[in-house]
Amino acid sequence: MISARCRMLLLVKQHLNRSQTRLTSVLTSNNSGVAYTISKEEFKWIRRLLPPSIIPKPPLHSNYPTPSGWSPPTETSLDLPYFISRTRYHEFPVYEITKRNGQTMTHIRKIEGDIWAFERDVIGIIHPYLDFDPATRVHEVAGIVSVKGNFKAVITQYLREKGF
Amino acid sequence: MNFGKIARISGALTRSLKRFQHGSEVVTASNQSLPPNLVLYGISKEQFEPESQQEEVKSPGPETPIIRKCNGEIPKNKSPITVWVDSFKNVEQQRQVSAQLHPLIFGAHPRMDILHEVMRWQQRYRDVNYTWSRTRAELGRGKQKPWPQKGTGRVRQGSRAGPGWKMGGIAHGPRGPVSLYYKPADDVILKGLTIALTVKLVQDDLIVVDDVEIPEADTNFFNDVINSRNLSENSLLFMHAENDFPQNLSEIVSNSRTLSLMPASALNVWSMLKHDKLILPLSMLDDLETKILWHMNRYPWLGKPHNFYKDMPGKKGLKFEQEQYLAEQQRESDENVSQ
Repeated sequence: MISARCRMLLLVKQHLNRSQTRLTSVLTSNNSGVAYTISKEEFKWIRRLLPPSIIPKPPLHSNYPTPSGWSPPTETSLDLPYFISRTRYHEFPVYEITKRNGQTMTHIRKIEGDIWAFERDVIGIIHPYLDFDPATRVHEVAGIVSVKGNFKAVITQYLREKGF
Repeated sequence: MNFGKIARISGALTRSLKRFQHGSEVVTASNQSLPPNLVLYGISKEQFEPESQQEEVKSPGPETPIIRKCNGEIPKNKSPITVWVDSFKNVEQQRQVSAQLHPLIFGAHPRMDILHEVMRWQQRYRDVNYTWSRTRAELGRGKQKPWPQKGTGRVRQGSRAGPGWKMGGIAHGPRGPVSLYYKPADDVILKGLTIALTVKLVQDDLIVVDDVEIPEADTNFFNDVINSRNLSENSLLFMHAENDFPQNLSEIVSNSRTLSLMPASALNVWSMLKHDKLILPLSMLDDLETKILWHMNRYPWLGKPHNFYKDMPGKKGLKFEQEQYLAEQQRESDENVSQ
């Protein structure tokens, strides 16, 4: 005398031996009566919680600069022999670092074109703040100009004025 | 070292640079073809006449119809690069229509050090150091004490396999296969790709084709096509889009040592440098550009790269995912408006 449950298990085993396609019908229509449906539209509730991968474009403001001091690059082309593009976060590529001995340095990255002309302009900007000639380094291959000292605010202001 | 001096540049590269810059209509104040501080060793600038050495090939002008435009955003200081679009259905080389290529991908700053690093990584990441030396326990000799502890006048020894002995075990030697796998930063590998594509384009080694598939698997026809383009002595790398496998071309490529066929996802620096010419179909360019630009403009990975971002290129591609995401947003905003 085979019980109902044993009969059910034998049925499942038979179906497994035959093919995979029949298994789903066996599972969905079981004796315990729990029916389920597969819905792909409900995934949108999960998708809204997932993080974005692409850095979004800044929203359009009516007035610039914004309260944080940010302004977008101008849309017209510039009449300078060099060009400094923005980072992927829409910021200026000007970085200050502090060495272990307490010295500060300012790096300006992403320089394309005549990098030596840009270096001359940077010296001209910094000159009022120093009594001596500023120490600079030009890395032609990588497109980087480094200046000894912390002049991030001054250089950023210059780039913003020019419309980079 | 005086950074103003640049090493000798061959005639072909300067010619290509000139043609490249004229063709792309760079939007800057200085429209000089060569930088002013360039020093050419061996010959003076007046003696240097690149135009006379080779016949000038016309780059696509403003009248040629553009059959493919760039999808991604182009920075304001750069303009798209126009190239001729060839066709393998005709035996003769076709110069009638043109396509636009993205300047950040096909006009990247040519950093040779990054290109070298990525190329060397491709060569070396699979290296394994197989050296292995036996310790005193692995020599296979016994644990017998060579002479008694005391009385012989010699140094006390426990076995003939110690590191001090001739032919004894090695104490701190190399131990077994060690993987020399390493990976440079994602940005470096990406830049290597774009620089390799740029180098191929600038040196006239990039051929853009409407479709890489040839009408019939006939070697004579294929050889006519290759010879008319003066590519008979070049190794060619054919690329095809992911779902667009060219059956006829694959039959010819499988019988040849100098020809290769790869899907778009297999594009790599080593193969591009190993083969003389690179042939890209138009159908592959959209996917390639969107994926490279996505990598340039994405957030850093949160943890391991995983497919749990809402707008990441999956199997169907980034465009499909983005359209889905935007459609969902539109539906939600419509619901909000109706409510």
